[in-house]
Amino acid sequence: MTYTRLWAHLFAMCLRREPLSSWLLIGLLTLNAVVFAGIGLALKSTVDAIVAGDAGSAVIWACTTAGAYALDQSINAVAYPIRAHITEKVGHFEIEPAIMRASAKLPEIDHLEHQEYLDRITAVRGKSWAVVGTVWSVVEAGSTVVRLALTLVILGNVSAWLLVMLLCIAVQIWLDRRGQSGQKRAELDLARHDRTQRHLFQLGVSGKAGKEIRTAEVGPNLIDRLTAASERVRTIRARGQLVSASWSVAGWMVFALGYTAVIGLVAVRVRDGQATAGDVMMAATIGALLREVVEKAVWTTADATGSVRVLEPYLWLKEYVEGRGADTAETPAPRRLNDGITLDALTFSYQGTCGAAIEDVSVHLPAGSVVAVVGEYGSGKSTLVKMLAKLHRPRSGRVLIDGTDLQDIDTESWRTAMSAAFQDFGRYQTTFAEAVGIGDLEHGTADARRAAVSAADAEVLLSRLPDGESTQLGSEFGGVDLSEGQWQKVALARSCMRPEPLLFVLDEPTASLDAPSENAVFESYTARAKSIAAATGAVTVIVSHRFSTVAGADLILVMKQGRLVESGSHGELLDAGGLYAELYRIHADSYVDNPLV
Amino acid sequence: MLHRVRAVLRHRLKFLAHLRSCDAGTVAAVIALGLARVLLPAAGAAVTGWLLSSLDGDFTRPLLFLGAILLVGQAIDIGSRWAEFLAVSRINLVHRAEVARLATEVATVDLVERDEVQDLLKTAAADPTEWVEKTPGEGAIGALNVLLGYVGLLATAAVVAAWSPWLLPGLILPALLVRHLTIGLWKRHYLIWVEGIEHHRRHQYWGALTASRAEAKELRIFGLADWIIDRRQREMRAHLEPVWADDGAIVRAQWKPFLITLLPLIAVFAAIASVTVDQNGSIGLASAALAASWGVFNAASGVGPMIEMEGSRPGIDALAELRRLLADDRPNRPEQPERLDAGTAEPPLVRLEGVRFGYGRHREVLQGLDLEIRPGEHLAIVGFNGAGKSTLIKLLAGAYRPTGGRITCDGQDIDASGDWRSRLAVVFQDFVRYRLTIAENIMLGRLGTGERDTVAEAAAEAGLGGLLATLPQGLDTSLDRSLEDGADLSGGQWQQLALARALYALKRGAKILILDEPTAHLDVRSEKQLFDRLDGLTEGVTTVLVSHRLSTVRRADRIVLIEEGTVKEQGTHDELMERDGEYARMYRIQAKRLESGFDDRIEEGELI
Repeated sequence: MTYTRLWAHLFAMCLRREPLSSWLLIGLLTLNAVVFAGIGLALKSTVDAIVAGDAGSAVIWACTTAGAYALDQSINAVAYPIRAHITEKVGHFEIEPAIMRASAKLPEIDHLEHQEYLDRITAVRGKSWAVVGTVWSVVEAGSTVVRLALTLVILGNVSAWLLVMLLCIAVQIWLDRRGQSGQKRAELDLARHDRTQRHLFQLGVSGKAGKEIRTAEVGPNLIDRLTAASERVRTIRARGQLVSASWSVAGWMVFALGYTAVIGLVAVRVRDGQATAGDVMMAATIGALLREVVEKAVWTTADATGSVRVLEPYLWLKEYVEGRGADTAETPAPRRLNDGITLDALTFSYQGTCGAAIEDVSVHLPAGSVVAVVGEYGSGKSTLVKMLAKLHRPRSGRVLIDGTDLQDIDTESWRTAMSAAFQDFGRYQTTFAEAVGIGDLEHGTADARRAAVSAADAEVLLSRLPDGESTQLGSEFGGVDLSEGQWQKVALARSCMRPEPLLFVLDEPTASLDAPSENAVFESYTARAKSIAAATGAVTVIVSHRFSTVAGADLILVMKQGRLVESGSHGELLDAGGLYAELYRIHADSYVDNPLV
Repeated sequence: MLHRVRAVLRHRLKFLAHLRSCDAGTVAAVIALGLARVLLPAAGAAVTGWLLSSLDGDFTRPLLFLGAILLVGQAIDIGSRWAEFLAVSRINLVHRAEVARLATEVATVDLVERDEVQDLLKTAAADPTEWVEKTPGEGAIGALNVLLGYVGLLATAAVVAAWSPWLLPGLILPALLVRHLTIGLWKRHYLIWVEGIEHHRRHQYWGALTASRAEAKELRIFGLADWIIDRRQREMRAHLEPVWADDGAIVRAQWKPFLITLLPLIAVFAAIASVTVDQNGSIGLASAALAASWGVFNAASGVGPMIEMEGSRPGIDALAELRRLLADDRPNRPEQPERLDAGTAEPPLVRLEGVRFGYGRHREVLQGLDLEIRPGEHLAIVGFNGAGKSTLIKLLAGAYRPTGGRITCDGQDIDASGDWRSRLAVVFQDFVRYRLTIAENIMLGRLGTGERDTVAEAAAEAGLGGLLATLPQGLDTSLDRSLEDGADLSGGQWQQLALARALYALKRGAKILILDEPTAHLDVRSEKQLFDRLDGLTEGVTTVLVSHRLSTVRRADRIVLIEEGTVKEQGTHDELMERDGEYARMYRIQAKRLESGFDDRIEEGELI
C-alpha cells in the first residue's frame, strides 16, 4: 500500500466519521485560498482608485480589503480547532483502537520479542492524531498550492515575467529540503544520548533507585552524567539545525532576489505606463504574504516528509497484522483430557536469534499429571510452556492435545480452557477485585474470587487492604503499593479464577515468597491440581529452578540449552545420576551437613 | 493601575528569570533577533509606501530596501528560531538537572516516595508529551515574545500615526480586545483539558498495556484485549468529550473577534481612502497606513507565546514547590568528595535501639527492634514476607529515618555521622540497572572516580569474568540494549553486576556489606558459586545477609529471626535448631520438602 492510497483511506475515514466537520474544513481551506488572492486584488484596486481620485470606488475597495483581511484571520481561527477536532476524534475512535488491536489481538506474542515491531509500536502508539493529521497536512498543502497558483495568475496578469517567481520558489523548496536531511541525521545520532539522559533523570527522581543512589552517595555523579548527556543532545541538535537553517537561508536568498526583481519589473512598467501604482502595491503586499505562504509550503512539505515518521510505522503494523493472516483453526478445545498432551519433535527459535530456543523436544504429558520443568537460566523452560499456551507457533514439530494438533484448535477456545501464572505477571493498577477477577471475565463472581483468593493464600493480604476488595492497587493512580510477593499473590489468585482448566501453567510462581507462604501455595496447588485432574484430566505444568518445588511432581522434565536432556520421576532421575541429580545435590547439600544419598 | 502593571511584571519575571541559565551572548542574540523580527512588518509597510511615492522618480533604493527586508526578514526568522532553540534547550537542561539534584540530595527516600512529591517531580520533569505541557525554556521565550509582541504593535502603530495619530485608538483598542477574547477562549480550552488529566493518565496506562511485554501472556490467556481496549476508550472519552464540546464553542465564539476586527478596520480603511482622495494626499503614506493598520491587528493576534507561557507554569511552580518541600531535609553533604577511601579503619559497632518504623499511615512494620551488629561478624536476617527485613535494610542504609528509637555507629547516631554511608556497600533487592557501560555501572557503587583496575577486580570477583570475556568491548560495553553494540544481560547477570558494584565500594573503603536477597535471580549452581566466592572476600568486613532461602544463611556467625517487627530468635544455626523454635520449623519445612518431595505435607494447623 502506498502512502497515496493510505491517505485516501484515511481521508475517507474522516469523511465517514466526521462528515460535517471534514467538509466544513475543506470548504474553509478553499475559501481561504480565494480570500488570499482577494486581498491582493482589493488592495490594488484601492490604490488605483485613490490614484485616479475616485473617492467612491476607493472607499468601496478599501472596505472590501478590510473585509478580506478580517475574513482571512477568522478562517484561520476557525479552521484550527476544527482540524484538531477531526484528527483527535478519528484518531481516538478509529486509528488508536486499530493500533491497540494490532498488538493485543495477535494470537501469538512473537511480535513483542521483535525489535522492529517494538520500535514501530513505540513510534505510533498514542500518536494516532498525528497519523490522521498527515491527511490534513496534505489537504492544506493543496490549499497552499491553490493560493500560490492564484497569486501567480494575478501577478502573471501584470506581466508574464513575474512567473519567474515560480522557479525561485521551486529552487527554494529544493534547497530547504536538502537542509532537512542534515537535521534528520542529527536526530538519529542524538537518540542514544537522549535515552541515557531520560533514563538517568528517571532514576534520579525515583524512590526505588534513590535508596541505592543515596547509600553510594553517587547523586552528584549521576547529575554530572545527566548534564553531560543532555549537553550532547543539545549540541548535536544545534549543529543539525544550524546546517538546515543555513540551507534554508540560502533558499530564501533566491526567493528574495526573484521577488525584488519582480517588483522592480512592475515599477519599470509603471513608469512606462503599462502598469499602475496599484500593481506595485499588490506585488509588494502579495509578496510579503507570499513569504508566509511559501514558508508554509516549505513547512508542509517538511511536515509531509516528517509525517512518514508516524505513517511508516502505522503502515508497517497494518501490513504486519494483515500478513499474519487470520486464525483459521476451528476445532474447539476438548472438554476433558483423556490421553494428555504430546510434544512431537517441537522446535522453536526467536526471530533474529541464531540458536533454537527449543530443539526437537518430544515427550508425553499424561492426562491428570503434575509435570515440572527444571533447568538453568536460558534453558528454554519458559519458552516450552509458552508453546503449550499457543503463545508461539512452532518452527517445526507439533503439540498434540489428545491427538489433535494445537495449531488446528481454535486459539480462543484453547485459552479459555487453560489458566496460568507467569513469572513476569501483570501489575494491574486497578481494584483488587478487578485485578483478580479478570482471571475469568465471563464467570468471575464474588464467590469465585473468594475461592481464588483462598487458593492463592492471599486472604491475609486482602484483610490488610484498607478498602478490602475495592482497594486501588499500585502507586500509579494513588493506590496501595504492594511488595513483589504481594503482587505475586494477586497474580496467583487471578490464575485460580477459572474453575476447571485443562492446562494449568505455573511459571516460577513463588520466587518472591517466604518458606511458609511458598509451602501454603504449593499445598493448595497440589490439592487443586488433583481435584481438577479428577474432573477434567487436567495437566499442571510447573516451571521452577528450585528443586524443593518439583520433587513431588509425577514427571520432571530437565531442560538444557533448549533440549530435553532427562525426564522421569524424582526417584528415577536421582538414580540416573545425570544433570538433575547433580543440581539437586548442590541444593540439598546446602540444607544438610552431609550430602544426601 | 500601576499596581496592576507591577503585578503583571512580577508574574512575567518568574518566566523571564529562567533566561539567567543561558550565557549573555545567547540572551542578547534572542532579544536582538526577536526585536528585529517584530519590527519588520512595520518597516515593510513603511518601505512599500516609500516605493509607491518614488514611482515617478528613482525607485532603486526603496526597491532594494524592500528586497532586503524580505531576505533579512526571513533570515532573522530562521536565525531567531535557532537562537531560541539554544536558549530553550539550555534552560530546560538546567531545570531538569536541578530537579534531579533536588531529588537525589534529600537525605531520605521517604520524602521522595511520597505521592505528592512524586506528582510534583512528574510535573517538574519538563518532558512534555501533550500539547498543553510546555517546558520552562519555552515559557521563558514565550514571556519574552509576549513583550516583544507589544513592541511590534507599537512599531506598526507608529507607521499608522505617521498618516494620522487619531486612527490609533480605533485600531489598538479593538486589536487588544480581540487578543483578550482569543486568549480567554484558549485558556478555557486548556483548563478543560487539564481538568481531565487523571482520565488522561489512565487511558495512557491502559493503552500502553496492549503492547506491554509483561502483560502480553496474561492478556491472551485470559482474553483481556477487548476488556482493556474498552477501558482505555472509556477513560479517553471521559477526558476528551468535554474538550470536544469546547471545540464547537470556540468555533461558534469566533463571530465576536471577527466583527471586532472587521468594523474598525472598515472604518479606518474607508477613512484613509476617502481622506487621501479628498486632500489629494500622498499615495505612499496612504498605502503604508493601510498595510500598517492591518499590521496592528496581526501583531496583537498571536497567542502562541501566551500559550507557551501558561503551559510552562505548572512545571515552574512544581520546582518551586519541590524546593520548599525538600529544603528542610538536606543531608550534610560530604564536604570533600575525595574524603572517601576510608582506608584500613576497622568495621564499626552498629546498634539499633528500640527502632520503630511505619510507611505513611500504614501499620508499623518495625515495633521497637533492638539489634547489635558487631564489627566483622557475618549476620543473617531471616523472617516471613512482610516481617520487616527489607525495611530494616533501608533504615540501615539511611534511606529512611526511624520514626522511633535510633541507630548508632560506634555510639554516634548515623544521622549525625557524616561518613556513615561511606562505610556501607549495599545490594538492594531491587538494585538499579543503569543503562550505561558495565564499568560505569560498577563505578556508581561509590562517589567519585576510582581506578579502572579496581573496577576490573570487582567485576572479576563478582563472577562477571566469563561474561566480560565474550564481550568485544569488555567493561566498556553499553547495557542499553536498544543499541546495536549494547548487551542484554539476564536477570542473574544484572544481579552479579549489582554485587560487583558493592564489592567495588568495599575496595573503596566500605566496611559493612549488606545483601538483601542477593541470589533471588540465580539458579542453584550460581548461588553456590557466589556464596563460596563471598566467603573469601569478606575478611575483615561486617556482612549482613537477608534471605528467605534458609539454606543460604546457615554459614552465618549469627542468625536473627525477625517477626512482627521485633527480634524473635537469634543464635547460630545449630543453636537455633536446638532451640527448636520458629527458625527450626521454617528450616525444616524447606529442607523436608526437598528431602522427601512434593507430597509430604505439613500437618494442618502448623502453618499460620
